[in-house]
Amino acid sequence: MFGRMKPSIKPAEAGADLSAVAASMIREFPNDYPEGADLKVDVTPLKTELTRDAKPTMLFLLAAAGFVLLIACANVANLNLARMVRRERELGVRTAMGANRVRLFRQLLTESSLLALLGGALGLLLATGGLQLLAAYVARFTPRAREVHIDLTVLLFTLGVALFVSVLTGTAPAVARRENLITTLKEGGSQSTLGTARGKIRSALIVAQVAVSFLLLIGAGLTVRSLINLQHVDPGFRPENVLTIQLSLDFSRYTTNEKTLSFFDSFLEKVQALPGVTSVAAAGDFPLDKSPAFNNQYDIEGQQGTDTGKPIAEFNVISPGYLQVLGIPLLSGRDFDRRDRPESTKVAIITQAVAQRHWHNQDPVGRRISFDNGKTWTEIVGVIGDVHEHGLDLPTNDFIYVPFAQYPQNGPALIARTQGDPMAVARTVVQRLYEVDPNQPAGRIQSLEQYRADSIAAPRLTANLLGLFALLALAIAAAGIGGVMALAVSQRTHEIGVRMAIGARPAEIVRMILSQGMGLALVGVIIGVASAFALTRAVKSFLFGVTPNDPATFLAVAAVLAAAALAACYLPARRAAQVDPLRALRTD
Amino acid sequence: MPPKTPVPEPNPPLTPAMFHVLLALAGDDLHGYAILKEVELRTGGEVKLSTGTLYGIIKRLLNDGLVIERRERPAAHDDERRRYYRLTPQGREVAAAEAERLEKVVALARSRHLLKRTQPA
Repeated sequence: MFGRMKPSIKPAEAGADLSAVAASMIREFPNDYPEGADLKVDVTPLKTELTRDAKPTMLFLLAAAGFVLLIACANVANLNLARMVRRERELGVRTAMGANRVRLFRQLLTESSLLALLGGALGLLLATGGLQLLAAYVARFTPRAREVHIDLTVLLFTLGVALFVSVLTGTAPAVARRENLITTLKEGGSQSTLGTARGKIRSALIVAQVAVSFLLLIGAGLTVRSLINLQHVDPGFRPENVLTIQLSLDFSRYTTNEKTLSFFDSFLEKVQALPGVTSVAAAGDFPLDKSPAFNNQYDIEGQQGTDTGKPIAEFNVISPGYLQVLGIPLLSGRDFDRRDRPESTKVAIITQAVAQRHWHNQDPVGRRISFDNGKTWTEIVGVIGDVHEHGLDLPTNDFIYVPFAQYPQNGPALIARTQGDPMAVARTVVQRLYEVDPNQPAGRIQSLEQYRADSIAAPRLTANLLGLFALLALAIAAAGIGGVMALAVSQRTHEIGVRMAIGARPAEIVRMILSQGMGLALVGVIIGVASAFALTRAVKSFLFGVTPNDPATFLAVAAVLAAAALAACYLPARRAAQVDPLRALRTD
Repeated sequence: MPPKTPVPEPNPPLTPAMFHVLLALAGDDLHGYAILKEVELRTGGEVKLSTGTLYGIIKRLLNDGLVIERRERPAAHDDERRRYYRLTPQGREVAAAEAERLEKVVALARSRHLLKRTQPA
């Protein structure tokens, strides 16, 4: 039931109203409602229903994008600070000419706003280009992906973010500006040593950039590792070179089991005869087909229990050859074959997990199970390997397979193992279908490999996007460290010259500059590790086969970050080592 | 009355077994075994579905969008391994349409005096 709520009503209130209505209906029409039936009203906003799958991933990526923005802000603020050093004298002159703090502040804000707005505009251009890609990505989570577009809200949001960034990055240097006009004018631009306040802000910004980069790299590292783990999961079947065609028989014409069976007997026979096809089968379900599952309880002969304690398994109805097509190993007993007809003994094949759970180390072949409280019994004829039926990231479920001939289905799939590309024979297979029944359309036609790829497409794209964000963050942070160190070197030219004049060797100068930069990076990494420990639990649901605090990932990310910081510091350090003491001392 | 939302097939035909499953789910969300029991109980044991048949019916109803698997877990004391199914609005309409059709058939049969007992509709 769908309804539009009044603007002021909350879903919970609507739920309470509906429950009251339902209760009064049960009171008024007691005959129409079974006694004791637990009738409940669940109210879910349509928006929640439509975006349920997408929300966590999108929030996760939004947070990642926010982090990148944060790093970029810190970096721009740092660049502004650095620029301020060179403009110290200019601003001093402006002050001397009568500009007050407010006017200077406005000047700086105008400049940074212009920068941020230009950046925002460029970002919007990029976004327009990337929108198609994004929509294709989001389509995996929500049916509303096609509605994704750049509208007024997006524009206003971008404008807002750009202005916020400009205030943030423009004010930081202004706040850190020195008060003493005379010193400023006297010292001039280039030779002044770092103002303490400004130096601290700059160091703090670098530390923050490294820390946030670390977080993003950890996120990317963990999702990439999850993806690799997913790709290495043994699905329990061989997906390559398998063609699948979903069928939905018209049951106003296929009214009896005999008609359905005879249709499939001739269709399978025709497909099997095709040159490119090695084996073929019909099945109610095949792995990763995303179709909703059906499970039910059953009884084991000699182990019958109460209703609540009975074993439960999922069911699949398969024709002979299913195991061969999918490459599922037969561990014991036999596959279904032509002996298993509607009138013969009811038989079943179970998965290894079922065998081990209920028969432990004994061979279950020849034992019997019942689906109707022991009125009729089904003999187990084979045991096969476990299959990841519903997703590579999901555990294997208990499965019981019964023969197609004994339980003909109206909506099964045809699966065929082919010699080459399965899609190459698809057309011929459909032609054979029309030969058997010209009025029977084929449903979805797709290779099993494609189903497998689709099943990990979402984690793959999350890992890709997050990886992209993290690399961007790493590059920005590295450039930030490099920039700050270069500035420090240029400001300390005189000091370095003195050091060298009194006997410091170039290697020592390099070490000095490196240790200063690496010290900042180290503090950043430590803060990053601490925040990562606190935050990674939030990403747990996106991970597979790797713990949120995976030591290997943490170590690797720390190493990558340290290497990037080292590389970023090395250039300025080398320049420092190449300082000519004579020239450095003369420039004072 | 045509359905308001498009269904996979216009006026999908229902087999008697499918209709019984829809009727069972019209009361409450049920898991596989409960559907079997409900159908048997409501028909006085006349219609008995096996797990294999029910599997096919549920698959078909799921594929046609007449039922969905319930997402949220039922009451805590229930076996969480069970999959529960719920009638969709389309499923309810299809079941209602089938019931109306049967009602007309019954009325016709009654007017031909094929039914001895008459009951108010």
